[in-house]
Amino acid sequence: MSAPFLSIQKHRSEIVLFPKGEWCLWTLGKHYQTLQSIDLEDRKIRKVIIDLSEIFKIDTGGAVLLLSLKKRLEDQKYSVKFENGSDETLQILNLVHHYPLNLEDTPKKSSAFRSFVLRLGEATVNLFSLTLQLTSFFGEVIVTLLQSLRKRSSFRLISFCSHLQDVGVNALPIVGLISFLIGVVLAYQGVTQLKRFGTEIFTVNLLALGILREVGILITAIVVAGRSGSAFTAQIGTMVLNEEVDAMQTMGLDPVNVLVIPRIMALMIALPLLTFFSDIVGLLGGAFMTHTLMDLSYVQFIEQLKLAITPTTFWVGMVKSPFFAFLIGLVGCFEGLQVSGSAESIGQHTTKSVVESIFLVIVADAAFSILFSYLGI
Amino acid sequence: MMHPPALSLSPEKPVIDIKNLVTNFGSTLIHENLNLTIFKGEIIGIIGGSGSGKSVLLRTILGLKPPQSGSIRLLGKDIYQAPESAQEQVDKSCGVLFQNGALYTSLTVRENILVPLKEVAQIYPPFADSIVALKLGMVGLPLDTALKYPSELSGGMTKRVGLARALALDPSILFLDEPTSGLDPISAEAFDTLLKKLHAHLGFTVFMITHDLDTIKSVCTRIGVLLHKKLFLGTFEELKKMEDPWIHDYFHGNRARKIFGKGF
Repeated sequence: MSAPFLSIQKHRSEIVLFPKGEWCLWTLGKHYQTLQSIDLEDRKIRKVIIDLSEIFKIDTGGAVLLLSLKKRLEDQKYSVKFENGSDETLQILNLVHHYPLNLEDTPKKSSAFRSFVLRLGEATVNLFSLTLQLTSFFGEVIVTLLQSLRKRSSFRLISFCSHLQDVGVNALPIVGLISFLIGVVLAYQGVTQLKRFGTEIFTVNLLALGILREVGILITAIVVAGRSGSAFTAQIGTMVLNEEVDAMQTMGLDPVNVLVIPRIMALMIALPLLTFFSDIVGLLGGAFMTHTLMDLSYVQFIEQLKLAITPTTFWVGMVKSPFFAFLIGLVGCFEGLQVSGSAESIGQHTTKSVVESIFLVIVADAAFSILFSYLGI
Repeated sequence: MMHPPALSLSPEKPVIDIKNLVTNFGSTLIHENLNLTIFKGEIIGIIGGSGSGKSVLLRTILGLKPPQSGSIRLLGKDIYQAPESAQEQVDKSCGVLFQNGALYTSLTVRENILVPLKEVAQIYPPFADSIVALKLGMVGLPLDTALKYPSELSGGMTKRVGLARALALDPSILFLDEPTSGLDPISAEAFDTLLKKLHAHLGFTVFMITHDLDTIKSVCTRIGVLLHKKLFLGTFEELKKMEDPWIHDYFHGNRARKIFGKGF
């Protein structure tokens, strides 16, 4: 392997350039700068000959470089000629010189302020159009849902069951583990703070209210949004890219009915069940921690629990879960159907799906809190 | 070292040399003692019925699917036995056009072609941009294609960009998987002409899977028929005379007769 280089000989009436060595893509990358910056700095002699006889090997990369060198010298008012090239060399030079070698520049970047305003405007418009689209998708889903309730045969039972397995049963371990740990953490904080007042027994009340009303359902919803909402987006998005959704439409199948409804229904059944599970396991975690920290027996824990809560406490948490499930499923499927073009788009929409569904779940939770306080529950 | 293997092989030395290749999927045998020798500068067209293992053969040669047994030598190096550095060198002198282009969807056309230039050969803009412009020109695409994303390209353009990317580093072996499938006859013919022209100037070896009878007739120097888990290699004239029913039907069917003329 010999590196490409250019030796210069100055004669009385002409300058001869000898490209030597291997003028190939593999070797040129490193030497491009030096080769490109050659300057003849001669004001008198205007005739340049590029003698190709000593080139060991050349490919299109070398030809590009030689031709752009020639062009650069010609721009500096030299007359340039190639000489003594082997057939192979000339063939490649002949091929390459037919083609333009300047890639048009990428569009110029506008000023920082301008691009800031542009992006702000774009984001605002996008936000509104997203809201509009999501609302219309919401309507579409509701209509299809009602139709499938009326006409049972159009409901996809098998698909529904397989999604129920995916989003429900398979989520049990992770939901259980997280809920247990949250129970432990809450109990620990409760015990250490309430100990100062000698009222650590009320840790049980804190746990019961906290977990049953808010924490159980929120944690479950967030885990499910991250786990299943994102999966919905990725699955449907890949189908969109693969033109499977288009194929469905041409067969007269409604993607909302085939893809969206079974997923949302499965989520609406699974999330309340998961929430119940999370409530129980969260309380277990709390019971375990209070038992460890303050020697409260499990029987005492249950006695105190009975004093602390009414069935309403439990139902206040539970009643929210189908709504949250609907939001997660809606956003997950919606973002999936928005995918277009590239693999990158799937990633973007999956991220958006998780962020938006968690955001909507928390907004909805706040709305429920206001509603419950009005109702005095 | 960064450099590719010496490309100046003597004519007698095979570029692709496959000996007693056996590949399988589970208990299904795909190739049984398949042999193939290709020399520098040849354009080999591989034909065969659907499911006869053409794509598997290509993937095996490219190092994507290890064979059950047998040896595959590219440029004199056994790609499944040679040390990793040698395998890399071989990879660098191969250009591949996948059936659906396999362009990176999140990169523009320019960036797609820059990938091998930058990552493998360490050539950076502005030099690399000149090379991108050259390769786009060579495959007959206007330069404004460079800024488009693959999702904005038609099927024919995608194939051309795929070819431009395969040609980016002046490969000594070019692998094409059904380069003209899905193209209209005019584009397909343009592709044939282009391939012949580039081949004449750059002198690479082509290994091509194709169903296109025109391509087989006008471009290929030799044709390989994948049949009964083996490969029958011969020139157009030789294969035409073979008596195997499949080969006979292939070269004497209605479509073939239209293209190859009445005399067949």
